[in-house]
Order: sequence, then structure tokens, then C-alpha cells
Amino acid sequence: MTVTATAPVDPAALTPLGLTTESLDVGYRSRGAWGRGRQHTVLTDLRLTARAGELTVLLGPNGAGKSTLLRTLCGLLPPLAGAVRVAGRDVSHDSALARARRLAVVLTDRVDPGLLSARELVSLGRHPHTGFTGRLTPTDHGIVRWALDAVDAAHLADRPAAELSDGERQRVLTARALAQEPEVILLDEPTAFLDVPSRVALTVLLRDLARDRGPTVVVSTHDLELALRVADAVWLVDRTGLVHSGAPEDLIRSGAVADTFDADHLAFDAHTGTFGLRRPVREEVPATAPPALLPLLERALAREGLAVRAPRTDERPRIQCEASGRFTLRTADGARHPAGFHELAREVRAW
Amino acid sequence: MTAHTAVAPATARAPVSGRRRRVAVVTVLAVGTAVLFVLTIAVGSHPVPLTDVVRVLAGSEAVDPRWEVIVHEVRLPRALTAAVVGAALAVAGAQMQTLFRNALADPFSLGVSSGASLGVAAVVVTAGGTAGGFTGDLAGLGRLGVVLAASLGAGAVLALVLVLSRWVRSAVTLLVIGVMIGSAATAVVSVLLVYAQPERAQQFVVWGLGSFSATTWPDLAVMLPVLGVGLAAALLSTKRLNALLLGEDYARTMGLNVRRSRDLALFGTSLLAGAATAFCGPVAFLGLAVPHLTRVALGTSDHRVLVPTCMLAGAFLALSCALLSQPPGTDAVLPLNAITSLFGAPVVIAFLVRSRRGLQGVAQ
Amino acid sequence: MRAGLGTRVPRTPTLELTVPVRRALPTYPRAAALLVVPALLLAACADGGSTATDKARAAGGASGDCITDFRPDEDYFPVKTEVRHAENFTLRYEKSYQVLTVKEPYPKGRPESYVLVRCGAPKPDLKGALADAPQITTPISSLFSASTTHLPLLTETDTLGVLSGVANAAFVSSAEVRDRVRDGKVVEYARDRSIDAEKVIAAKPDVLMTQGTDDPQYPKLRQAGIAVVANAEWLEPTPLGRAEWVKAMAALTGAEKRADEVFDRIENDYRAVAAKAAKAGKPVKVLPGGMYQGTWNMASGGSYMGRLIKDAGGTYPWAGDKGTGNLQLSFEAVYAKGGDAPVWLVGEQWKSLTEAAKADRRYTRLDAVESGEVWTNTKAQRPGGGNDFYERGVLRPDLVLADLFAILHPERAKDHSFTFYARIPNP
Repeated sequence: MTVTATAPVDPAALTPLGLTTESLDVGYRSRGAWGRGRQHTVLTDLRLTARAGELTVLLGPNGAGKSTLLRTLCGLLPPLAGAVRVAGRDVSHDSALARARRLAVVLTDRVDPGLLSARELVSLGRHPHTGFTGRLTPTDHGIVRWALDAVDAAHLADRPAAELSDGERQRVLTARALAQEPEVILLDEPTAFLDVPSRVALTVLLRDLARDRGPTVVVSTHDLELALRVADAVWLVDRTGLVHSGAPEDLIRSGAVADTFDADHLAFDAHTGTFGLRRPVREEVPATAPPALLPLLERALAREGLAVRAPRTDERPRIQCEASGRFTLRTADGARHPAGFHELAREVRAW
Repeated sequence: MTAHTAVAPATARAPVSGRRRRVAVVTVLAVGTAVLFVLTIAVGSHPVPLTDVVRVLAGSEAVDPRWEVIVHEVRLPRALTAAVVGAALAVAGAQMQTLFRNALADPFSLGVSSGASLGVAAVVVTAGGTAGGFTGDLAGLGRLGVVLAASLGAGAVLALVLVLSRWVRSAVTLLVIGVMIGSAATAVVSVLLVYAQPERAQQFVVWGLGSFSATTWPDLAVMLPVLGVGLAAALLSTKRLNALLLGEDYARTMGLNVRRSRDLALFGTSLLAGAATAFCGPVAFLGLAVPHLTRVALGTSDHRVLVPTCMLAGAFLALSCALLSQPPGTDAVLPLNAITSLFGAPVVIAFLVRSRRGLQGVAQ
Repeated sequence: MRAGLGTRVPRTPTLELTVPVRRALPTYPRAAALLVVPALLLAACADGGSTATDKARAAGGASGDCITDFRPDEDYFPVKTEVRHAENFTLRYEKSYQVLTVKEPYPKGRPESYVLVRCGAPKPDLKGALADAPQITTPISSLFSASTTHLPLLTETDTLGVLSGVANAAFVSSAEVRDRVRDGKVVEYARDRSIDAEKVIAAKPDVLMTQGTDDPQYPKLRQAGIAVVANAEWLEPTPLGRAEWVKAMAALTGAEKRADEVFDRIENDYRAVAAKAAKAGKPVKVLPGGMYQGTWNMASGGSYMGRLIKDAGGTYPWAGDKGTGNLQLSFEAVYAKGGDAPVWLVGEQWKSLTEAAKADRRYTRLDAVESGEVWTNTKAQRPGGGNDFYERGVLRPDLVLADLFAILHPERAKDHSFTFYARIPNP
């Protein structure tokens, strides 16, 4: 088998539509002690699209309903109303097995893979494709190998899955989803337990996967800045239960990101696409610094509640920073030369 | 996936060694089981020349007509019972451990043996009584009555669990319910025994000690097909069990009908455990330990390898216990459960402690 | 019926732990006892002779005559019972009291002594080992009995009147005792196998006689001032030893003379049958016991049943085993060594040999089943109740032995009528 022939990588074979929701209401039914339970609607009238070949990121504060939406998309929760379509087809019309061939997931559940090797774990993804006995054909083996390659985990294949690091295990679980040969892959907070390099690596990997191999990839995450940088599209659940969608930049420009995530101590900076600490400014301090050091100086002073302003022409800056890293502080008692930002911060704290 | 070996040479463990290990384990178990089976038939408290054993097995006359009875009516049924019941309990245990993702689950976790005990206790109490009644009539059927009562008890518990499982989504909750049904049945048993004739109560105690020696050919004619169905069902459900390895949510997203798979596994397990208990009493320990031993020996949780190997390992251990419970050359019989637990537990503990990854085969 | 015979496996430690196979024991209300005692005295007088003032009779017979004018030098026990067969109890006589010592009151239990003081005599001030021994005034007037094996000891010595409580009447075979329970003269104090301590304490019997096992309630009852006296006759390996416990009971009820007579007759009858059996030629091979779940429960040669079989002129492959308990054997061993025995002695209530085959079809391979010589000791079994074999049979080994002799040597006991044993019909 050549990878491209069987794997879901031929973009021409896919409808550009990817995953769409049609007036979808998501939520859950609580089970009453007697008879029917009550419905708890979390998000209503969702009309969202995640395109094939793109990485779509689902963002939102805790408790906004991201997991409920994702579990509904993958069929673990029934839609309360509306439909989920993959390439135009309503997935609720598919059998569970047919759906599994179109839609695969990586869940937040901590899995205990027991005594499975990474390859055996990935092979489990072939479940919807294998016959009654679950025997793997050479084609199946090829796809497993391809999936491991795709997540850069071929070297892990024979390691016991239980001994993998968190990052390695998420890659292997992603490979398991890939082995299902789905049109859509849904991942629920796949980076939650990972260290920073692994987060970046996995997120970039998912984007590349979408681009190079063609599936629709939807990822929920808390990792805002990384997501806004890497994602092709964003679904943003705001505090009112509205879902905004568009390119990251669209949502930044519209202010939806800032509205959703700005808080007492956090401010989203639309220019940089990053979050900063919001601290009350007690004083503006005239200071000079070479352009390379100015942002660092601003950060250090911001922690102490000071803002930097350019000195007026007749004014001597109270803080002077030179390209060599030498600092000069001017106070009523005279000039001082703190060694490094740490000492500088301690000096200005008393101002 | 065992055939898939030569892709990634840059790994810490050569994949070939894993496969070789599995082949070695299966070979050793198969040969060991065969040897033990032959031993169980060839040796016993009464010496029977090997040639006559073979002659009886081949269907011709032995020199001493008593030897025919000993080989054909005593040893062969016992060896068959031990092998098949051992396999059944091991496979049932493996299924339950996967289904409930719990290392302590065993074939009796759902109260099947307690249900069987309740049935037997009901017969024991009413036997010889003036009250008559349904269970009293069962007592008149002799051994068949006991077997029927045990089956009815196990079946009743199974039905209750299956009905409750309609409303219970979580396997763990179901496990807890099973354990509680089991304790309720055990409580009723102890009340019943208070009113039993002491001689009858003794019989119940003896039943509870477990035995592979109680079965005769008419028993086997019922037990073997039932256990055969249960074992075949387990072999056919390995794909489903594998899908459950990552948890029920993953299994659903892989297209598995989790509820139906659960019902099938519960039914199959109860069939295996119920039939084994009905004929042999509640045989302890095998159902819990054999799956763990097998997983560690094989180094995999893949049910397509695990289930058949569990059958071999279960048969192997059950035959060893059968031999030890009636040491060749002596007349004495030791209670089977004493052998399985006292002799087996230390072996298993040693094995699991030595093995670095002990109980990792199932989630906790 | 707590004592083990034939197929019963009563006292394997495991079994004890798992199932409380305790036995029902006796009792009855005090008022009733008081009514009965005078009647008994009358009966005893009539029976014992006309010289009511005869000291010997007053002391040794079933008399309630108390000492009115105590003289320390006088021997108030001119008739002294001698214990010849029983090994688990001793009776020692002092001038105005006796010491009853039970060596093993329950399996592995430490010896217990009871000081039985003639009524009217001052309580002796004892030192040493007996200082703490309970002192019981005899003859007692009320008795709670934990085992049905005590009942014949009372009926045969005409002292049933003292019985005021039994553990559970359902297991009682004696119609006489069941009538008394029905009439309210005897209460049941352990119907569900655990002793109703309140009931016992309220009735305050002079003595509660145990079933030869320990019970967590006994210390409580002793504290309440009830004399708990052990009767562990089932630990005696010999049939005559078990029967001789009638003398221990008689020491309490004051019926020693009558007990001696009863026991002497039993012993003579037993010896007579044993002598006939010894002359009957080569011992007949028998197969005792039965199988459950594939394990054959066989009485050891040194056990009660083993002795009976030997004395009845029988033998079996495990007759040489010195143990006093039961052996758990494989069918293979039993069949190979004893399958050719012409007689099989079981404890099952099979209505016909078809039921034996239903219980385990391998039974049909036994020679005795083919010839139809399968005998059960359940002839005197009440449906749903006790088996008199385990009640009266304990005191009457002569009757058991006669039955066994007739089974093993039918040609020498042609007109024997069976008490406990019956042949299982062969359809």
C-alpha cells in the first residue's frame, strides 16, 4: 500500500465542507430517578463549519461547554436538536461503525493502555475496518505504520504504551485516531498534560497533518496564544454561550477574544496577539532604553506598577538602560547602578 | 498484529522477541497441559498399568474390570472437568477484568457463585423436609437437582444484573451492584443454613469447598456443551474486548455497541461461571489469577492472544490443582479450594511481585 | 444427633468454622419441673423398694431426700458408680459431695470439674484446683439440654421430669419429649441455633448441659449463676464409652443406681452380640460412608462407627486406621479397595437405589448396589426432624450393634427386628 492511496489524504476526494453543524443544540439529559430526566441545554443554534485540510481550534473559558460540544460532535452525546454533518452527510444517519470510519477522537480520558505496545494501541484504531475476528491484514498494518509515521512516532512502535511520556502518548493516541482513516479528527484538550515544547510540537503537528494529509482537525484547548498563532480557524465560545467563528485574526479584530478572556488581571493585546498582566499603573516613569531592551524593561516595571514614558526634552530619564546592560537609576539621593533587572525591580519597588 | 514485526528497527525492544515470547509461552502451556492431562488419567490412588489405561481409553477391555471403572468413570471425567472448568473460569475472569477495567474483578464479581450457592442452600435446607415444595422436589433429583438449583440461582442473579444494567451506564456501578447482590445472596444462604439439618448443612459446606471429582458422564454431557458455547463466545468477542481496552468512550467512538458488548460479555461470563459453579462448586482463585499470570507471561493485553492463552493456562493450573488435591498414591482428598488458594496464591504473588509491571494489564 | 456416625462429618475444623452445626438442646420451665419432681419421687420409691428410710437408697437412688441432720463423718454415697468405658469424664466420691470432671469439655478444651453437693449438706470449702469449680446441689430439679443425645439418658433412668428446656424441639425424636414441649413443660431456648440467653437466664435452670462444643453465650450464663456442665460424650471413641455418660447425667439427677442398672444391661447385651459376632467366622467386608461432590466420607477404624463394625463382625479397608474421626477419600481409592464389599452402610434417606444412582451414578459400580445390600441408618428418621439413631442410638449401642450384626450375618439373626437400620429397596 502506498500511504496516499488508502489514507484520507487525497484532498480531491473530500468535500471542502468538512464538518458542519446545522442549528445544533448541545447539552445533556440528566437522568431522573423516575421516568425522563430534564434537558440541560448548554449551547444552542450552532452553525459552525470546520473545513477539510484546516486546523480548527475550539476556544472558550472553563465551563463554557467546549467538552459538551466536542462530545456531541463525535457522537458520545446525542444532539438535543439539529444535526452534525460530515461532508454534507448527517452522521446520526450512519451506523456507529460507519460513523467511526468518518470521525475519530482523542479524548481527555486518561487511558491506561495496560500491556499494549504503542503499535498495538494504534492498531486498535483499525477496529471499524477489520472483520469479525479483528485480524489485521497487511493493508491494516500498513495504515498503522503510516499513522505512526504521521505523528512522528515510528520509533515508539514497540515500546510499551504505559512507559511512554505524556507527549509521546498523546502522539500515539493521535495516531490511533488517524488509523481509523477518518475524515474528521476531534481532539479534546490533547495538550493539557504536556510541557511547553510538547504542546507546540503537537499543535504544529496537528496543523501540518491537516494541511498535508487533508482531514478536518478540530481541537479544543486552553492554550490561547499558541492556538491563535497556529490555528487556521477558531470557534470561540464566549461567556454568553455565543460561538464566534473565523480566522484567529478575525476574532481578535472583532474583539471577541478580548471580550471573552479579558479579566481583572489579564489583558489581551490585539497588536501582539498575546495576553498581558493588567496591573494598575501607579506612576509613569521617564525612562530610556535601546529598542532591544525596551520591552523587557517595560515588563519588569509593569510588575512593579510602573509604566514607561519617553522623557520630555528637558527631562533627565529616571531610569536609563544602555545596550551594554548597564542601568542608571536617578533618585533624590543620587544615581545608582543596579546589576540586572532583579536588583532594578527591588530598587523601584520602594518608589 | 503479531505478524507485523519488521518496521521499526530503531526500538529498544526488538518486536521479534515479543512474538517469540508469546510462541514460547503458548508452546510451554500447551505441552504442559497435555502432560498434566495424561498424568491425571494415568496416575491416581490406585495403581493401574499404563497399558491398561491406554486400553480403556481405546475402548477395549482392561485386565481387571475395576480398572475400566477407575479410568473411564473416575479419572477421565475428572481430567476433562478440571481442564474445561479451568479454561472457563480463566476466560470468564479475563472478560470481567476487561469489562470492568478492574484488576480484582473475577468470574464471581457479579454474584453468580452466590446465586448458585443460594440455589444449592435452598435445596439443602428443604431436602428431606416435610414441606416439600419446589426445591424439595429438586432434592429428590439427587445430583441433577443440585446442579439445576445452582443454575437457577446463578441465572436469577444474572437476570437481575442484566435488568439493572439497563439503567446503569457505568461499569463500575454495575460491579458494585454485583458485589452487593452477591452479599445479599450470601446473607440469605447463612439464614437458610440455620434451619438446615446439620447433615445437610455439612453437604453444603462440602459443596462450597469445590471439586473436580463430582462430575460423571451425564454431567459432562450437559456441562461440556454449555462451557463450549461460553468459550467459543469468548473467542469470538476478542475484537470487542480489545476495543474496550481504552475505556467505554473510546470503544463507542470506534463504532462498538458498548451496551450490547457488555450484555454479551456478562451473559457469556455468567454462563461459564454459572455452569462451572453448578457442577464443581465455587472454585476459588483461578478466575482471578490466571488472567493476570497470562498477561504478564505474554506481555500483552491483546485479547486475540490473551483469551486463547488464558484457556490453556486455566486448564494447566486447574489440572495441577486437581493432581495436588488427590496426590497420586494416597487415598486422601484435600479440599480443592484449599489447594487453589493456599498453593496458588503464593505462586501468583511471587510471580506478580517479580514482574515489574505486575497488574498493569487492567486499569484500576 | 450431634455425634458423628456413618456419613456425617461433624467436626472437621473447617466445617465448624463455616457452618454452625450445633445441636438443639433441652429445657423446661421451672414450675413444670416442680410439679413433676414429686411424681418422680413417687415413682422412684415404688421402683426402688419399700424401705424408704434405707440410707443407701436415699443416697444412691433417684431420691430427692435431702440430708436433714448432717454429720461430717457419714458417707452419704454408699452406692458408688464405677466408670469403666468412658474416658472423657471421671466421678470421684467424697463423703457429702462428688466431683465430676470432664477432661475435654469441647474439642481441645481444658478439663472442667463440677462439685456436686448432696442437698442438705453444707457447701464444702475446697482448696486448690477445685476452689473455683462450680458447686451444684444435687439432685437437680431443672435441666436445659443442648443435645438430643441427653434425652435418652433421662428417659431411660426415669428422670425426664427434670428436663425443662431443649435447644430446638424440631430435632427431637422422642415423642415423649416433643409432647412435653407441646404442652409447655419444656421450652426451646435456641430455635435458630444461637442461644437465647435471656430466656435461659429468666428460666434459671439448675444446670445447662452442653452439646460438647463451646458457645460464646456460656460465659454469660455462668456469670448469671447458671451451672453450665459439659457433656462431650461424642468425643468418646467407643460405643460403650458414649453410652456410659448416662452415669454422669445420673450423678446430677441422683439416679445413679438406676443408671448403673441401665448401663449394665446395655453392656451385657452389647457384649453378648459382640461375642456372637466373634464366633461368626471370618469378618464380613462392608463399605461405610458415602460420597458428596466426589469425595467419600469414611469413618476411621478407631472411630465410633469403626468400632461398631468391628464388634459386629465386619471389616473394611480402613478398619486399621487408628484415627477417631473421618477420612476424606477419593472414589477411586474407595472403589478399588472396597468396591467388592457385599454390604454398604449409608446415612442417606434414599427411597430406592434409583436415587443412589441419581446422586452419583458411579455408586452403581459398587457390588453392594448390584446385590441390593445397601443399608441406611435412617429407619428412625422423622421426616424433617431428627434421626433417633443419633439420639437413642448413643445410649443404646447394643441396639445398633444388634442391627449391624443382623445386616452382616443375616443367617444368624433371622428374626431380628431392626431399630435403626433399614435396607434401601432395590426396584
